[in-house]
Amino acid sequence: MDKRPFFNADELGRRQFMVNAARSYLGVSVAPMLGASLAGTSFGQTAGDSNKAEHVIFLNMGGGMSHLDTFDTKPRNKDVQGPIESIGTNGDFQISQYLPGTAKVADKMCVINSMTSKQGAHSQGQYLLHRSYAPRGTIVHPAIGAWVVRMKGRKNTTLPGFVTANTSPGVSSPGFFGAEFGGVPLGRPGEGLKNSTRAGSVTEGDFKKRLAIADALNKTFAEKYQTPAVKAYDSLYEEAVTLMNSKDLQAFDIKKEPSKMKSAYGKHRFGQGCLLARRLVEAGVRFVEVSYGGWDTHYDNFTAVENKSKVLDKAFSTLVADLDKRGLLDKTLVVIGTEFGRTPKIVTEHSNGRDHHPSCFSTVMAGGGVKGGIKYGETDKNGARVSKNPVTIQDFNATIAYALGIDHAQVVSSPSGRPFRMAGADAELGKPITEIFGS
Amino acid sequence: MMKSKLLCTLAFSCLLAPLTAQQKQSKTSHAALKKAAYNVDKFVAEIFRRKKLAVPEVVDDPTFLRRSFLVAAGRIPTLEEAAAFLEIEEADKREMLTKYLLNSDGYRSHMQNYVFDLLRAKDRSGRGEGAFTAPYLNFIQESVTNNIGWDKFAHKLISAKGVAWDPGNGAVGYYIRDKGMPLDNLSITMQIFTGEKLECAQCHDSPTNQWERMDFFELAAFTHGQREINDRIWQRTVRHINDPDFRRSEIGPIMYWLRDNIHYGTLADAGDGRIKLPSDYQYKDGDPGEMIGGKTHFGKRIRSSSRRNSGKSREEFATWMTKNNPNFDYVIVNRMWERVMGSPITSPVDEYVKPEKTLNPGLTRYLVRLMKELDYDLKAFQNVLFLTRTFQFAANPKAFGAGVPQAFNGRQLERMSAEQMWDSLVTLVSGKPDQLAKRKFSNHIYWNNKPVLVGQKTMADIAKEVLAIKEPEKYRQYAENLLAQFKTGGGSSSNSDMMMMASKTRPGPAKGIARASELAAPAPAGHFLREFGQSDRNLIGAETKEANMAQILQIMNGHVEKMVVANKGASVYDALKKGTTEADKTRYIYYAILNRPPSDFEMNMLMRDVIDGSRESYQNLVSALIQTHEFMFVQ
Repeated sequence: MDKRPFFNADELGRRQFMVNAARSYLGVSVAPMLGASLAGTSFGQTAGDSNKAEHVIFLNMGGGMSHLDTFDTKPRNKDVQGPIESIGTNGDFQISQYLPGTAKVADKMCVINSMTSKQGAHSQGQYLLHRSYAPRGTIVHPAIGAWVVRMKGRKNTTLPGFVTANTSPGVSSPGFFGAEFGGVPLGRPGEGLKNSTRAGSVTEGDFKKRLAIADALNKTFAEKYQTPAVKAYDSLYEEAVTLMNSKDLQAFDIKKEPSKMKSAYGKHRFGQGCLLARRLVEAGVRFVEVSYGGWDTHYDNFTAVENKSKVLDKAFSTLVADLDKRGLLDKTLVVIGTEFGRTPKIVTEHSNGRDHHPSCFSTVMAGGGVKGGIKYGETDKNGARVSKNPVTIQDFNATIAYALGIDHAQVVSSPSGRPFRMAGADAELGKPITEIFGS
Repeated sequence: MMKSKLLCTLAFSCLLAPLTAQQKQSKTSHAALKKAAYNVDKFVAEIFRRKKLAVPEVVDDPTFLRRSFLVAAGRIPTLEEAAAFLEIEEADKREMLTKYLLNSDGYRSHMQNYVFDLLRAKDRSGRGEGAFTAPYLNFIQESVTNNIGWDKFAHKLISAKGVAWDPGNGAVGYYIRDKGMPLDNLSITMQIFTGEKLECAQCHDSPTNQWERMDFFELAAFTHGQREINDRIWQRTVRHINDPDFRRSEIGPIMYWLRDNIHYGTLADAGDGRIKLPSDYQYKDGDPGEMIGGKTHFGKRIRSSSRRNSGKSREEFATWMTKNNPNFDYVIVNRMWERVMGSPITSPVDEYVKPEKTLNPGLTRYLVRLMKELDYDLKAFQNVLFLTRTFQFAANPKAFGAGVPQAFNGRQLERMSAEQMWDSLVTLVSGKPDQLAKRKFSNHIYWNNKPVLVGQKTMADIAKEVLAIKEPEKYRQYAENLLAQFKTGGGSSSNSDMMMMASKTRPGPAKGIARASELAAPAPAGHFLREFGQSDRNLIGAETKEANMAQILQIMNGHVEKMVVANKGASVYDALKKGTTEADKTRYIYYAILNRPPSDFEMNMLMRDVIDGSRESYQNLVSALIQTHEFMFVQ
């Protein structure tokens, strides 16, 4: 019996195993590869004169934050306003009484009161907010965070470019860009990046060996199935190993912060998420999303908005002040976004609830070269319609791009050759609000 | 010998009973289902014939084994199950396996995850930490366990009214889940059950489909009227409930408790059948505030009056939706096809398409007819699909451009769902995954986290008493008496550990090893399940199979390491007792994890470079096999 074919296969196997083993080992052999494939992919930057931002902290108010009860109060119209009072700020606008901390950093932020959208359902609205496109059955559009990493590249190549806290993985997924541009989801900010160190039960030698065996065993499968989903896992393994070796891993650990700082941000998941976001930005992470859901106040709007505003207020105002104090605010764009606003009509049979209202709503931008103390756009006296300077979600995302010096209209094609842009499709392509930038 | 081993492992005794029972019901007898499967295959073969393409090969035994387990029971087979199936040669062993799986509790668990996702069912939702959700989730669980026809199940949800705590009335939770947003609830109903997307038309004429805002409100009229029972009396009683002094008073907490645990879970009306157009109604066919009646626009045409409250319009609407409604029938057929074959007949799965617009209209019509003939018995319908040759087609590695769409061209490679991943790991740990502890339902009363009045009163009793009160002043008196009873009739809180992940009224596994369906719904943020893409159950379709970094860290350093690899008692290590030589042990580890024997190439490499007989070398193998793509993806 001729044993040579088997022998050859065996030899090939041995060689392959050794190569794979080397490739999977921790350290130098992996990092340069990542440097080439991920960090170096930036393109499409424009030369705007106000592109100061290098990072984004995106605070996602899931559920549809009531504009009337937060950033677009109507103190003269009690019928639509309900019981919430307005307070003055150190900027050129008033806000809700439940945002007193925010009132003190208003000079560093711009409120956009003229947001408008046609998506009145949560999932479509959140999808649009995150991706500038309406959902389609045939493709998943990349999230804005993934766009930023793709267009700007990574700043710290040993850390992920995009991290999310309190956010369901599906909301901020990288879509057709692939997993290397996706957000790393953190369930509980206080726990940091879980499992980022080798388990105590495994020696370094065994850890390497396992990676090498898996790599060798993956070959046959990977040859048969060349799908993006399979490749995504390959690239993530490499990235995970790099991350585990990163000297900046402690950026994820908010336990390193003094307890005073933790209290200042608010000892709830959102506040701690904002604190974590600051640490990550400090360490060079491009885009951090922190979500705070529960704004869907159909039922008992005023009690809910009061409670939610207090949490938002403490975290947001501390974040802005903290970034400012550290000299990071200029290069960090902090954004408060939501999928839509809520109706001026107060629904008494639902214990004074408010329903969805995409026609107009409010968002906030601070830092990153944005002028402070101003508001942009207006709504009518009922807070029902935009009366001046309408801003679509696509415009909003184009403005984020502009702050970072990214060309919002740059086309990136999907693997099947379809063209997509950070600020939406041709017909709805957003325009940046350039007026809000400058000193 | 081998055959008897298989029969024993596959719990033959469980199989015989349903077989005998089925023989009597000719529609679901094995022969009838097999014949239907043959008919489905004929239609699929026609697609390939028309395109002049060869019908795909069928998969080998190991692939069939793993695919069937994951698709039917949501987990990989245990070592015993894998060995039993792989080591016998029986002509009908694939059919036997299908029966085994569909009769297992794994089927119930996996199907329950599916329905929970579809209905966005959560342990905690709305007021009172979601106290009403226990009867609701229990209703869904029981309906899946008892394989209630999909039409009856949907009818019960849509026509529900009354008190969530009344025995058997948990379906009312369907509306209470979305309290305060009845219009969104209607959009969701239309999407999940009839495949029509009306969420745009909620605010304006839809730019993307034919639905106008008037159409939306005409449908909304049927489900309108979702007040709580005795809401006026309640409002009068607690007008001052938001007053901080009242909140702090002795009576305050019990009043809140009654609001959150009893009132919140009630639905007084059975549907007004009419609704006012909203104040921003902007089209010429109606005025803001105008009262309009109900009207359907597809299926059978039904109407309700704008002049008086119907008092039963949800019942009529439910019947319209579920009886002789082509939309309803096609959507559930499309869903089940996707579930078994991996891709829907038409995509997206929840969009109605007329049979003539589908690839093989004959097949679509046949499947719809079959669904109706089987009385919407989803287990029997899936059984037909599992028995087809189409289910056994080998995956076409070309995801696109394969000539015949994915839905008919072999299950396409996809990552396991979060629940399949978790349940497969649970299988590697426990060895008896279908016999682990389950969530239960309790209508005990919990006050300050302690059971009270045990054996004396249930939540249903309290609901009955509270809702019988017609005067505000008596209400207060009742609350005071109840508080006194709670104080004297207290219980222990010894169960508190068990309640960590489960709510009190759905007691069950709190920690340790349990199927995903038995853990909190959904699992808390940061849990393995959530990192692998379990739905947060806030939005439809929020589940995802996309890769992310947290998953890799879980596999290398997290749960996989702690729960399986480093766990000496994990059942995957039974392989070491079962095998006598190193090669044998290695083969059984392969059976347990990848459910196939290793190839010669793999065995040689492992024997040469990895396995040295030490425990560590086997741990390395177990860890590496779980890290492979082959483990994580369903072929």
